[in-house]
Amino acid sequence: MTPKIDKSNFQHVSIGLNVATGMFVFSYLGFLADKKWGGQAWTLVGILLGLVYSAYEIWKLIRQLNDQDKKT
Amino acid sequence: MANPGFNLEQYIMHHVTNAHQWRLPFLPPLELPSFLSLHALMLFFCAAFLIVLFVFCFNKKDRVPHGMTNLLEAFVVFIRDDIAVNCLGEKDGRKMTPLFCTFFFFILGLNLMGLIPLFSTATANVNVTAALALVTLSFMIFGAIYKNGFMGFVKALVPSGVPAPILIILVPIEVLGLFIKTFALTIRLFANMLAGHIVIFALLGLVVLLGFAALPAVVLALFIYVVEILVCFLQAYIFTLLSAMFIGQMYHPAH
Repeated sequence: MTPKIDKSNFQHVSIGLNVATGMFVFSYLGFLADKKWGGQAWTLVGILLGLVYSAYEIWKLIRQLNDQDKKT
Repeated sequence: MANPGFNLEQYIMHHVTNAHQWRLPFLPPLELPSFLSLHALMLFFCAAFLIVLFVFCFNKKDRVPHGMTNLLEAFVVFIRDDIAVNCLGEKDGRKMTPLFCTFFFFILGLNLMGLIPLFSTATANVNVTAALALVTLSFMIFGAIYKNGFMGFVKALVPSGVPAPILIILVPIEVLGLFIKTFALTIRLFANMLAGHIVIFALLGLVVLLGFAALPAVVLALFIYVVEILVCFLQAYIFTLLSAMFIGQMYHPAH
C-alpha cells in the first residue's frame, strides 16, 4: 500500500498565485493611495509590502516543509 | 468562404460574458427577467441537478452500492478522507465534509455545464467564484472564532518564533493574507475556466473567419475541449482542497 500523503501542508500548490495576488493587491492599494493623496511614494511602498508578503509566504512554506521533514 | 466582416472578439465575448438572454437554437432568444442573469440561471440549474442527483439517484439504503450511488460515493469518500479529514482532523473533518462536498460537486457541475452546448459557464464569472471564496473566508474567520474563541483566532494570526518588532509588520500582513488567499482562490477558478473557454471559442472562431483553411483548428479545439474536461475536475478539486487547507490552518494553527 502506498503511504498516505498529508495534504494539510499542500501549500506549495497555491504559492505561485498567492505571491502574484499579494503583489497585485499591495501594489494596487498603493496605487489607490497615490491617486487619492498624489505623488508616487505609496505605489512604491505597496510594491515593497508586496515583496515582503511574498518573502513571508515563501518563508512560512519553507518552515512548514522543514517541520514536516523533521517529523519524518 | 472566408468571412472578413466577422468580429472574432465580439463572438468570443458574447459566449463567455454574462447576459440577460438565453439563446436557444431554432427559437427566439429567451429574455430573462432583470433579477436573473444567464449565469444565475445556470446556478439554479446546477443546484436543481445536484438535488435530483443526490436525492433520487443516490440510494443510501444499498448495502453494496452500485451504479450511480457507487460513482458518487467514491467522490464523497475521497473528499471526506483525503481532503476534509486530512486537512481538518477526524472530528472537524467529518463535520465539515458536507461543505466540501457541496463545493466540489457544485463547482464541478458548473464547470462541466459550460462544456455542454446551450449552457454557459457560471464559474467563468468572477462574481460566482468570489461568492464561493467568500464562504471559505467566512469559515476562516467566523468558523475559527466559533471554534477557538476570539483570542484563539487572533493567536492564529501571530506567527510564532518571530521577534516582537517584526510582528508590527507581519501581523497586518497576515491579516491581509487572509483576504489575499481568498482573492487568489477566486482568481484561480475564474481565470482557469475563462481562459479555457476563450481558447476554444478563439479556435472555433477561426473557422468562421478563415473558412476551410482553418479546419485543423477544429481538431485543436477538440483537443482543448478534452483538456477542459480534465481542468473542470482539477479546478473543482483544487478549490475544495485549498478551501479545506485554509480553513484547517485557521482551525488548527501551527505553533
